[in-house]
Amino acid sequence: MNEEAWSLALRAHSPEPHPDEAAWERFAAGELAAAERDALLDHALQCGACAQALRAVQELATTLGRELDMHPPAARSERSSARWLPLALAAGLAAVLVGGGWMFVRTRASEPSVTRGDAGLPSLVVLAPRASATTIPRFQWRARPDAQIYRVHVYGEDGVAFGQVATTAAPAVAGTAVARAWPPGRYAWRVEALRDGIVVASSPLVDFELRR
Amino acid sequence: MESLETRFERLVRASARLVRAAIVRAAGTRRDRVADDVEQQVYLALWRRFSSPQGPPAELAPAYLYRAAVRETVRALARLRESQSEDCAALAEPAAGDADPERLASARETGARVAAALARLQPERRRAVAAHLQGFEIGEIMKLFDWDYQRARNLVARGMADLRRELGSTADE
Repeated sequence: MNEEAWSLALRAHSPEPHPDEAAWERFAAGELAAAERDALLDHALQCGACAQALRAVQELATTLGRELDMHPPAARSERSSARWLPLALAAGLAAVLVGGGWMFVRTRASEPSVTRGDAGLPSLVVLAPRASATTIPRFQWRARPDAQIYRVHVYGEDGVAFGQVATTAAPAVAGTAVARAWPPGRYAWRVEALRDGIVVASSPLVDFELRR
Repeated sequence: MESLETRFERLVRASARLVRAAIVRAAGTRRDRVADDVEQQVYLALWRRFSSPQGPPAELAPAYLYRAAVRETVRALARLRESQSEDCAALAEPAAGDADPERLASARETGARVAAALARLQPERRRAVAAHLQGFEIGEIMKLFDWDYQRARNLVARGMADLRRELGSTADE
């Protein structure tokens, strides 16, 4: 039996009892004691459905954080987002309320184009497009010697992922399909470098504008 | 100038969209089964929480909104699971979700065996391997446990070796 079979089997596993909604809320808010957090994670990682809830909650924290421009201080960039995010989210949401909903019209042009990538991974340097308007984007980045392939992702301004645009061995790819399929507007993109199926570097999100 | 209520509505609507995106991503290849109205349901549920007769609770809203979004995410996934099957495995992909009772029973049995083998691993390796088998990427595992890249990768690699040994010895028994 191989790893894939173990993986499928574990996803079908459903030990009870499952964490309730309140436990997930407290987990997401960073309110669980270490032992409770460990217990929730131990369960969630051995239960297919709860693992998906865990993934969704993590994804939500990340996308909400990104949408609110919540970046951890540089000195803590390699630490888990789990501890700062709830407070940062609260502060960011408060800023939204005070500031009159600026998050819906903001641009990400001020986001540094070269920073640490996600989760403290080494950063990939993006070359283009960067905060520029284009009719057919050509996504380009600086090659990494340890990368075997690259994956390009594009996101709408509301943070919704349009999915994986391309997988390529070259450090550039034409976004012809993107330009054909998606309406004019503001988008963001990122690229990941993979080796042996594992992400070894990631770029920050970079804005671009699609025009007709 | 926009009223507080209008700003709230926009914020809640945007959050509902993000909740839907999180659910779609978590559902993996089952995303086609995600009901089109998930976003609407989440929006309505969130909005109901904030549209009390006294108006939105301005001071507490940020924390409430975040928690409510988490709660609605978990709730929507549960609804999705129930709509597909009464079984917790319905979201597992792909074999376990295919409604072949024999395969499902076999997958469950193997799942219990894998879980038992995981329980015998050193705690950090167990968590790293379980996350890996559940499809979490190294970056996600790093975030989850506050590990750096090398540590996460080593724990997955060593834990997988331990698991192979454990399952091998179980099979030999």
